[in-house]
Amino acid sequence: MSTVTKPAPPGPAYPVERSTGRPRTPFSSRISPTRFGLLLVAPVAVLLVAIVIYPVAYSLYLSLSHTNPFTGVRRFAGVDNFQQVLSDPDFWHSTWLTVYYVVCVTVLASAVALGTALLLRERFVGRPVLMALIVLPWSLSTYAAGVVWRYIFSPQYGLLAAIAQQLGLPPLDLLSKNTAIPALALVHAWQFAPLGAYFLLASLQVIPDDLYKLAKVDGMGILRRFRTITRPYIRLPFAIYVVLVGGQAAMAFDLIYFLTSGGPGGASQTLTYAIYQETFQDLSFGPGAAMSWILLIVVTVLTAGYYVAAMKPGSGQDKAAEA
Amino acid sequence: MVGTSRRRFLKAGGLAALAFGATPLLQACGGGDARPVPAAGPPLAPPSTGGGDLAMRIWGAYPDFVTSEVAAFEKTYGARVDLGVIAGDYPSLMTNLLRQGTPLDMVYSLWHMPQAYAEANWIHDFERFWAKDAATEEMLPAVRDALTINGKLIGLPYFAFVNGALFANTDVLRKADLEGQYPKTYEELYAQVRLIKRRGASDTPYLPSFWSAPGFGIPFGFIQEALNRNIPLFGPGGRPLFDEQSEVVDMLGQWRSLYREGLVPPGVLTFQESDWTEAFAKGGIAYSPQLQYDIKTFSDPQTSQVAGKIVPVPQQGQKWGMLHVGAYLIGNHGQDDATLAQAYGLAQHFGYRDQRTGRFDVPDAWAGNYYLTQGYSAVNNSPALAESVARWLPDPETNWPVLKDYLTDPQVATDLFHTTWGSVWMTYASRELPKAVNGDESPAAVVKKLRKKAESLIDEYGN
Amino acid sequence: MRRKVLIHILALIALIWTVVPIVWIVLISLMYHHEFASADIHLFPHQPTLANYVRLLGGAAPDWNGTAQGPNAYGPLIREGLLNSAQVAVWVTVLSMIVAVPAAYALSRVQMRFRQAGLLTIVATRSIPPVATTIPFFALYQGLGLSGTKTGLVIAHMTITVPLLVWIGTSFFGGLPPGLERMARVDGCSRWRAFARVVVPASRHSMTAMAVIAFITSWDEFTFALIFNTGTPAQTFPPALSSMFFQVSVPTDVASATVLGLIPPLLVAGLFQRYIRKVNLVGL
Repeated sequence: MSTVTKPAPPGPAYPVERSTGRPRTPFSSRISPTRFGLLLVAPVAVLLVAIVIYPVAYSLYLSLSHTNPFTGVRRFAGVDNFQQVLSDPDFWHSTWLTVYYVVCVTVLASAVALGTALLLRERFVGRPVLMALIVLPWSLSTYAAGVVWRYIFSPQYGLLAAIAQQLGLPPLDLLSKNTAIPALALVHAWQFAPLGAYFLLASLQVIPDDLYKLAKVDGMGILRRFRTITRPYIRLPFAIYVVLVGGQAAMAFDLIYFLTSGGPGGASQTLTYAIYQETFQDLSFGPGAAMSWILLIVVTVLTAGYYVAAMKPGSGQDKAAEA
Repeated sequence: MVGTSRRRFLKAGGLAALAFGATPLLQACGGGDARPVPAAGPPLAPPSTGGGDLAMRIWGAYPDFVTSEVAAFEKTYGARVDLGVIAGDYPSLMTNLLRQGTPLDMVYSLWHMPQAYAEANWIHDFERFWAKDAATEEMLPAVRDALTINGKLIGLPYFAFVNGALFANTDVLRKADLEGQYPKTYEELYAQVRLIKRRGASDTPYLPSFWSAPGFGIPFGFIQEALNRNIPLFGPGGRPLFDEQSEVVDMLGQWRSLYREGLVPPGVLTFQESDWTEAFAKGGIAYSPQLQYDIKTFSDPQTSQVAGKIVPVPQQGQKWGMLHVGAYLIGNHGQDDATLAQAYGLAQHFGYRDQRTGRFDVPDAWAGNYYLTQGYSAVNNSPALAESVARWLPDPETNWPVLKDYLTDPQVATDLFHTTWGSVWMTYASRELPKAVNGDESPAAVVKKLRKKAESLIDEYGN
Repeated sequence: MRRKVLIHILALIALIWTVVPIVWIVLISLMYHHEFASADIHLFPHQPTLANYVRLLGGAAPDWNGTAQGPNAYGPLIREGLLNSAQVAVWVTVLSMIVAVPAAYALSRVQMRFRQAGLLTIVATRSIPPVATTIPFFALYQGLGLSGTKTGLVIAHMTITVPLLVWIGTSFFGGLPPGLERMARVDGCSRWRAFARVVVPASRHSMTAMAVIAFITSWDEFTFALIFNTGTPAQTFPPALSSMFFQVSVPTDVASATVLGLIPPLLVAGLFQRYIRKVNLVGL
């Protein structure tokens, strides 16, 4: 699939110094390909071991102990923290909100991304402008998106309130208990859809136009055309985009921090936000770390499961198409 | 062999991680890193001159003024002060910094935090501050008590005012034909708010402290209204005195009604401090417990549509609000006496009479420039302040005494605030109380959870 | 014909959806607070002004009715934050590229063992929420003296950018013609030279996109910046903005500060958007 994104650069056209029969083989050619590869990967491995594996392992240690935040006294607690977390209705509420949020974001973002990509495949006045502009939300920082959308949602001075006022309607509170999650998801999707649009567009553009023309001649409707022609081309990139968005949504923090701070009354207290509250506001390091671990496991398992389910069938075919 | 190299690689990586991680792991966060108790001793002498690097952390209220005062301190006393403004969720971030032993010399704090800090030995008390006796002598008694923990003074006052002092917009009251008929109790307030709406003078006549911020906003609104209504919440040691039979359930029920009937602005539960001020300044709200230092904002036609219309509601029998104190605390990071003396000097410059001039320079400026009233009556009643207030309050002869009356003998939530876990309970309350307001859960259910939380926190931290 | 009209309408909707939120905050930033605070909300400033920006950047500017207004109290905080953010983002970009590009190359084109496993492990670290690792991280940083420093933040950001770049990079390199290095090797290049002299130049556009993504990701990062660096001289823009946003502050000022913080990533993304368009993640 990825070959299609750009024309192959003419390899040998680049100046390649001709070796003048040096007696010694350069180091990188003497070692096995695996060693050469491992050497190149080593800096990343060091970085990850030192500063990713370590905190994660440390948080496992925290999750298995009880810490008094004020005295620093720590004792082994076994699985107490996990038990406490799993029997806490608030945890399940947060889990439900996380799932709800992830689903909302994924659906909205994929829909917008796909819609935009399909639109950008068409010809219309100002297409290059739109093409360039849709990168804007994505390049916006998430916290900035939070501020931006607070000025949209605020019933006191927001854009929506302004429009309602012009129409003589009462202002709407979109950050209320039933709407907070969808409203947050909307912002998340707004910010994250452009990347998906670019991503899908790249795949759409390789579909030969003739295929559509033929299909039209055959009398296929727009939906059938999408199903039989478009879908096979974008299935894989779409699946990967969904994984990416879903993972992002499960870890959303800044947006919630800026827009609702988990409120009103815990209505947007997703797991990441709950972890922040447990750890930093309530100083319950053990339960906080236990929640982190549960989230980590769930995200990893879901991502891997989805990955396996979505990529396996037909991926060989894609690979073949690539070669 | 490749297999061997992988194993060797992984082993080396693991060792590197261990070497890298183990030391700080044990040092910074490991078991039993109880902070050493700050050495007791005779009062220190004020530092004569020069030297010293101090770290000061504040929240972002008028950073320009603080910067200029820090510069003045540096110039006069020859110390270097690294001043930093901490973002957003200040109490949590500050607790984290102190817990991790970050070398901080002077920090802002609200008065419900230092009990925990003191018990953990994260801060120095002021027992060795040379002017301790003189300063406590001059402090308002309630402020002195608020800043005295286990018999020791733990900070100097940054501000002292009544959180929840009730303000009225006379414009709306006139429209509703209720001018001067101020409510004496919460019952009367809520009745009048409904009347104002019925008479069409305002859509959302009341803006309560329903906004949610950890340890501020709605938990404060809850505690102060219960105090004002004489509903017992906490006894000595933070023992909860309320349950599902308590009158607070009915109080929360009334909050629920205010919200359901649309008497409060939409979105109030997700307001931020600035939204809360802006909304009142926009006009159309009859009553609101506001922060008194915002009278300056409200009186300024640049920022407010209600200039000259905002007055404090006189207390007639029942009080409105409770004492709110900000403090300058001194961090304990094992500094020597000389550095500690420098830190006391910085605290004195900001929180008491300046050592050189003998005047309340910074406190007077806070009061006179921003109406951030201080822990000293000498400052709060100064003639200079009277002049400033006259610019911010309509009819100052009537209204300033009303405002001053709030700070004479205010109600205090000491039983909760002087617990290790008070801030944790309030954070919890800031998430639970809105549920009673927007109908997510019944008031009784929320009250039950609040009690349960207090009990479990006592179990965990003791009382 | 009907189809044409429909497409244009949809394009208009897409345009509005994309830009209106940003335009709105820009409009707010161009309003005097007096106008913003008026009882009805104005869709367009009746008296547009750059005063909020001038005051944020340390100048004085008259208010709507001509009264003098001094510099904004948060100005220094925001300006230092922008400067620190820029430094951190540039370092993160450079270092992440140095670390991630060879790794991505190896994982996509070198005939090595553990390729798939290595790549999956690296990508999997992306599912660790930063919020979950801040406490251990902070402890580590306190021990190493890295908390409250730009170096510390650069390293923290690299834990996010490097796995991302490796992922994207493998897709890029995977898309190059299969025989590229072989030709170079036949011409006598070593493995390393084949990579450095042939593959890297051939994928410079893709690498530009990777660098842009690293820059934007670093500029975007909030959690680490808040926990490690708030209130220190190394404070970056996000905590500075957060401090302004959550304190008693004027929304028109917050809006102009936000817009100032939008400019660098927007500029970078705008300049290089044709490369970003080629971002492809089908590499696993």
